[in-house]
Amino acid sequence: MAKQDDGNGSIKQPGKFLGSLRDALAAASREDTNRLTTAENPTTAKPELDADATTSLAMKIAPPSDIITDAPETCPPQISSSDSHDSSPSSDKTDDVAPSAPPPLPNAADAAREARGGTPNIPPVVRSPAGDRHVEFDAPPTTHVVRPSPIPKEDDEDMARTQLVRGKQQVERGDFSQDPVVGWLVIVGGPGIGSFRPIYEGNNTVGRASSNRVAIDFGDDAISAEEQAYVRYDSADRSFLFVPNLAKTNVVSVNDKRPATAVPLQGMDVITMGRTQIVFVPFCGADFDWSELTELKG
Amino acid sequence: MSAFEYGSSATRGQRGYQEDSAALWPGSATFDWPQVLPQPAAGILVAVLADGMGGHAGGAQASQTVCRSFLEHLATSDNSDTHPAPAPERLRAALEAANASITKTVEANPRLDGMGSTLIGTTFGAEGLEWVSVGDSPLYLFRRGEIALLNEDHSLAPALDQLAASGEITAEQARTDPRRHMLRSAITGEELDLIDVSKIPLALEPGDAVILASDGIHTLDTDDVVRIVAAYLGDGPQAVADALVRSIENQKEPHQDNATIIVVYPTG
Repeated sequence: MAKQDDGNGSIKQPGKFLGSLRDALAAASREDTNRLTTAENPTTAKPELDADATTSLAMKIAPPSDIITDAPETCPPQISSSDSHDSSPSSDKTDDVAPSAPPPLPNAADAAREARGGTPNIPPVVRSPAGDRHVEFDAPPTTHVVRPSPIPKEDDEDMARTQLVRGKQQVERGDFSQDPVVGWLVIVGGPGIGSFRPIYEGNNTVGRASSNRVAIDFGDDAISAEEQAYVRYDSADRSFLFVPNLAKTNVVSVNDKRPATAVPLQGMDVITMGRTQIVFVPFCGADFDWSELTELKG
Repeated sequence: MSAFEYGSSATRGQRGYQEDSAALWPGSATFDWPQVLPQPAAGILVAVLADGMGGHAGGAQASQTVCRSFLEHLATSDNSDTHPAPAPERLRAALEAANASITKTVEANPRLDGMGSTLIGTTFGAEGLEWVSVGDSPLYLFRRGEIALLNEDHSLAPALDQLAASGEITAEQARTDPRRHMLRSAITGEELDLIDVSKIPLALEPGDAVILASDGIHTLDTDDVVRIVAAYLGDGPQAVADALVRSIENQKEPHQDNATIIVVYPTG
């Protein structure tokens, strides 16, 4: 992470700091009112805000020792702790310029590096040589659990929902010029009879509107426009799931049962939505999955 | 003997719900949780913060579940041990317990499938700070006017920044890429892809502030965080946490994410 550049900034830093704080306060008017009401001296006027902020830097200014002597007994715990911040560095040194003494512990960035065992916490990105679809994250400091089965892609919608991608994030779609088909829905009854729609890997939204990944747009308005149901194919276990969208009132059934939750789909299952009957025909499954081709090529 | 003092604060931002959770042991939680854990050894403080995902019920439930099970596991396994501070293995075990609790929750209620959470688990003891982390919730150390990120960012942000640094994409593209907030690792009940664990305890000194935050804090840039922490350091950890959350709210970000902050001080 970015850190404040300090170098030998023990003298110039207070000025810089106060200047920028003042700017920030003026620009955003964000803390000054609260600040004054929570200040230790209620009488503080705006100019003393700076002085107060300066003492909170703990090591920059000597006078806190005066304050410390009378503070601890009367102040609530929160404040006495803040005094302990002030007192311990300044009690070590009789002089007022604390930063000139060698710090007992490394600075923040070095301390972080030490605790990490000397490794950086920004994993380097290594592009795999074949220029294929993965960007590899070589992350030595962490446990990297390698997934045994390559998952060619995760569905866009799923990613938006979970905001999770797997350890290897691909930046390209691999060799497919379009999403690989994993099965079909064939219309066997109702408007659109004889037509079919492909099902793709991951999550397929099924509904009447063309925005659905699987659009049953043959004019059956008893089907919800948006996301009447979901058909999911998981390439990890090569299974299909039918998930009704229970937020929709339109009736959906699978083999004449009305599922209240996700149900596995088998080949030739009949899905009924509105006045439309749909047969499910799998392409991927136990016998085939696109990942097999990818593995052969790899 | 070491002692620690803490404060915490949270905002929902512009979201209609709070998916972050945070809890301290011994101490309280940001969610409804009557803590019945045994007291830890003297001088030990455990702080845990989680940023849930999965929308509405799912996200909040995920982050609460992992906080609770993480602490419960630490608390119950801590009794049998004489070590003053839990070792990395113990943190890891607690993390696995948190992960397993998500698996169990989803099994009990399949509609929650897809929920998950980040987690920062920290222990403060005589030897200092140790942590375990999954996801993109930052853990910072403030020391002598500087701030450093302690844990690894499991979002795609570091990768995008590196692509920008190497000239493959522009800095602007890196900054606005929607994948920036996607996670390479999270607690979803499945195998954990990436786990960040401290190797050795990070010794703390008076004047340090350790900050656990959810990624809603990124509304503030790091320099702002440094300024605010420095300005309120002397007022105690609660004042620092409050000031950070107030500043986030005052940015009036139209899509401000949930933000939750825990600040811990060593008190000598």
